[in-house]
Amino acid sequence: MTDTIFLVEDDPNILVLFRMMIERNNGYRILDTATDGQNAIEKYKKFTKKPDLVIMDHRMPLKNGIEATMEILELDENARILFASADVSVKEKALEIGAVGFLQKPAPMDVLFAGIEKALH
Amino acid sequence: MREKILIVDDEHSFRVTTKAILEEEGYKVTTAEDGLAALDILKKQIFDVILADLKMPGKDGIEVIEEAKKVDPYTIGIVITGYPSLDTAIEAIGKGCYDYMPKPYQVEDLKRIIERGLEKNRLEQEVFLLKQIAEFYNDLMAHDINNINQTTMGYLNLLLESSRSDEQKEYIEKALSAVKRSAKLIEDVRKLKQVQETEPELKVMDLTAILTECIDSAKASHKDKEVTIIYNPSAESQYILANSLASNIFSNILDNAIKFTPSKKVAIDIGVDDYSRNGKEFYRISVGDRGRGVPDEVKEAIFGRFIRGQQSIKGSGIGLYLVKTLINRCGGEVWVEDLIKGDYTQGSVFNVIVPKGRAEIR
Repeated sequence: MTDTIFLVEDDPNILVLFRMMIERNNGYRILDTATDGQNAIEKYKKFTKKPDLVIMDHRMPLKNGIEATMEILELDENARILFASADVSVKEKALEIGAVGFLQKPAPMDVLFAGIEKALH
Repeated sequence: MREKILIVDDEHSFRVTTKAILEEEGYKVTTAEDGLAALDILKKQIFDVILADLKMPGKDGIEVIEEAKKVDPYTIGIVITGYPSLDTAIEAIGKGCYDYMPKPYQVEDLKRIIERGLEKNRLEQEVFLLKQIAEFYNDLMAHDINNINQTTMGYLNLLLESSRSDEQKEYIEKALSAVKRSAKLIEDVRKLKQVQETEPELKVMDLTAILTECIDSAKASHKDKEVTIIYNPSAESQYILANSLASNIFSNILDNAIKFTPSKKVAIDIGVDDYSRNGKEFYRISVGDRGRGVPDEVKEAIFGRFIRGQQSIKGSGIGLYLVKTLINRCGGEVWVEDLIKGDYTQGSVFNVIVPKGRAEIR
């Protein structure tokens, strides 16, 4: 079965790139994308079928990744969130509030896929 | 720019003379006859300096200065009093006043205190501004440039996948490793900032575990080379007293050893032995490589990226500077020797000494 991914990322270049990389992999499908934390929460609420994984950027407008992660986990305690940031100093915080993994950016493709696989299972 | 001064005193003659003296100096002076009148004026404008009498009906001088500093923390508050005492002086300084002076005053003293206060003010504002600029550049690198690195790295990965020719693959690999170096440089700057700004706590750590992890990640990040690292961990546990960033000491040294070995085959030896100096017990970790070596003239300079007057080797990033900063924070040391004494071109040995940690307090 194809795993669905909800991609949250404010940098349009990275969004396009990650989407392309993820869609090249037969195992995954992008369910939807959001470009800020607030929008991510609103979209998550409306999903009738929840994604198998959320890839969450940290530095974003309106609400950052930590805030969005906390709110999404409040809506759905089973949400699996893979935190992705260049700022390693938020790693501890992200895992503490319930992210299932942390991906340090910039991440090469193999590291990205390994991170997704590990976060899904 | 004419600095603005507010004089607050219920004594008319004091206000008039002091105003005349300070206007003569080029300041723009306003006066208020008591604390409440001063507060009214402070609602409408801010002042660089407030000169306030300690004892006044309504609001006293310290209260006026406290109020003014709530609006502009850079305001210099000077309390003046005809009844100087240690208690009120301590109270004034404790509440954020810059200085305290008796009345009557010497004209030269007054001028000097105001000038000095304004100078302190200028420096503080300058430091604040410079910190903001530094923060801005740091943020720009850590976030914006890393986002660009992510995009570049990703497309190169995709290109590498679809590339057929070996020559193309080689060029793409080279470009990828350049992007990784850029990301590593940013990461090192961040770590350096972290060690410089905070004093990371020292804790007892397992040296064998740290070295094993560093060896694995060094090999993993240099897949383009055939890396052999010989390390025979001691049978008994070896504990060091170091901060949580300590693994960066060894990962940077290993990374350099691999990077600066010109051939595709890289051979590195790691040895650990006991070392004592001035009655203190250390472990000495020696990392020997067969790289291009370090000439005597730069054996110290390679660790001192930012020290004025010292040259650094081009392309070495700030890795070794980070190594030195980290090891100093742990109370240890780092130095480099020739693998073959007297012939640096045969390779180097990087020696690191780290204080031993006691396992029982782990």
